[in-house]
Amino acid sequence: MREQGVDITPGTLFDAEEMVINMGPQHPSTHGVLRVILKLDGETVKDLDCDIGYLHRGVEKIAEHDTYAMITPYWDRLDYVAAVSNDLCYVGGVEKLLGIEVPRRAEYLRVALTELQRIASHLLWLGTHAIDIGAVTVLLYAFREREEILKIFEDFIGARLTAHAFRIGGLWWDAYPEFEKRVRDFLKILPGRIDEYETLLNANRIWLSRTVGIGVLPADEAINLSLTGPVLRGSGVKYDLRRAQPYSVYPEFDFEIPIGENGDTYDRYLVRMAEIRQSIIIIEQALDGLPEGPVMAKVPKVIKPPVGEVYFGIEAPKGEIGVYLVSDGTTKPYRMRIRPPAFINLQSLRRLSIGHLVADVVALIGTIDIVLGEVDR
Amino acid sequence: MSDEEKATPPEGGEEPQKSEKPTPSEAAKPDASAQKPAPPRAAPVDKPATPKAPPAKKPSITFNITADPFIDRIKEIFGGAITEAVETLGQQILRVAKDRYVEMCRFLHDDGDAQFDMCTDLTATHWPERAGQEFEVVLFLYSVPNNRRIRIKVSLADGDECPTVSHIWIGANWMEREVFDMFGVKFSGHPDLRRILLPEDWPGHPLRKEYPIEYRDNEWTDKHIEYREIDYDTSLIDVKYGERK
Repeated sequence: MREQGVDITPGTLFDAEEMVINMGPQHPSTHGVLRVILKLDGETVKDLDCDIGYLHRGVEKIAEHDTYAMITPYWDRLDYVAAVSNDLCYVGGVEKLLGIEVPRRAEYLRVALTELQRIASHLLWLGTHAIDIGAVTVLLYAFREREEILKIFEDFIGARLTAHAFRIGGLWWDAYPEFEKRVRDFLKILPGRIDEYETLLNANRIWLSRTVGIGVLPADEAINLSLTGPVLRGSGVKYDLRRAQPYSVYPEFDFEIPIGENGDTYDRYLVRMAEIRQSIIIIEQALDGLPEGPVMAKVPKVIKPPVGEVYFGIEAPKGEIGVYLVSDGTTKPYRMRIRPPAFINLQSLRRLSIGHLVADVVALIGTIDIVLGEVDR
Repeated sequence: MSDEEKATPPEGGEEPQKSEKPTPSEAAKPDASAQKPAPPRAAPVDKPATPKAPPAKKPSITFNITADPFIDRIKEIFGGAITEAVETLGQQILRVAKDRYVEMCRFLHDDGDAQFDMCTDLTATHWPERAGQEFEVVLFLYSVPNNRRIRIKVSLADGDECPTVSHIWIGANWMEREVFDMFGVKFSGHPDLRRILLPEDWPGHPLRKEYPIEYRDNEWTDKHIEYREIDYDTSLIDVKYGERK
């Protein structure tokens, strides 16, 4: 407006150079209760602050007063769209501290379930991210496939969402007889369905103009911001804990780590789609090589780890979820710290958004893939 | 008690190491042993909060780091500032004095051999029993080029300020804010030290050990949540049992 010769002196009606607006906590695109305070110049974001903590339950404090086995269900409620992955992190940490070796059959089933959960989480992300940007159709397709995974979970674990899948030392139940067949049937149809999503999005002009070049993050900056998961890999950093610091039986599987080139929202979308395809390969290998045997190790009834501490991180769908356990030799942890990937990734929203339009903030919240249950803990 | 015995076998393999390790480490590094008044056999870090006798059956899982050229180099550069270099379950932990903490972080970030370019996590632990060292800020570093992790610890007295590292790793910004929110540890030099999860005027810091688990601050709730008297027709609920209006 200044260029057009309009005189804007402070105090006049048209002096609207900077405006502060609230987005959330009830905004549908914030995927929960995230409040974003935006400082705008017209439609351009000048500054941004995230107000979080609406869902804070104090899980870390509760954990100091519960025994090791009692804490596991709280982990389901952190990232509640990827509960199985969270469980693997916590039980893996306790097993490492105790020195328990998990039976191989349990490890294979764990990998299969965790990768199914990754697919489910990425499908939910895809549907909601697309609907935020305006492509409503994808949500319906993505939820159709996610539903199949949730049904498999329901029959295996007994819950669809907050699946208390793993126990310290293995699994509580062995796989039900039709589990393998159902998963294989699902894996047969899934690649075709992913092609369907990509038909809807990959060459979609609106999708491209809303994602290409939005929120570009160079690799060194992404590392400095402590980003992990697909957000980091979208910037071209080949960092995946399944390969970098292998846990469970991942070294026995053959799969690739997809990375992006440009570090923009579109690349992060491509990385996640490629990850779904890699997860299919991993699950097939896990089912092919599924050994016979017990699914539960010998675990003492009273879990008393030795005095010491451990950090254990796994590659969750959102990034590196980790647990830092400090044991004082009693039945309860002295301190449990959750390394929340969504919380740490959300920090980059400010860096990504500045200079973009308000509508892009919606796309950028989607591309980081946050779950507020985990951000707030 | 039988349960404890069951838990012992997995660590049994490390038992001989424990008895052997201290002697070569003391002989190899006289400077390191001079720093430590206590014999390095036991893990001084992870003493239980209540100083009861540790169960003799359980072997310690924490050992001094020996024969690691990179750790030896750090010890050479920082000398007495490294008060402890231990390894637990294959994870390396260094304890550094507060006044050289930032200098060491800068070294770990910039040095060509170290290249710890990612701050995976930053948190704290509260040890009210340790006089003068009540808080411990724990920094988890990861090096993407070298695929290596290291954990840095700084001991602080209650009320001490910890120097910030958020200018080295931007990602540490929110983590330090969370530590301030949950423990009340202040980070000097932090660009934006506000509470992050709890409301600005929340009293207390929940992850301190003295903060009770079932604490409910009624004052705060009274101040922020408005209670309104509701006018409703009491005649409808003041009904005696068996009576119908």
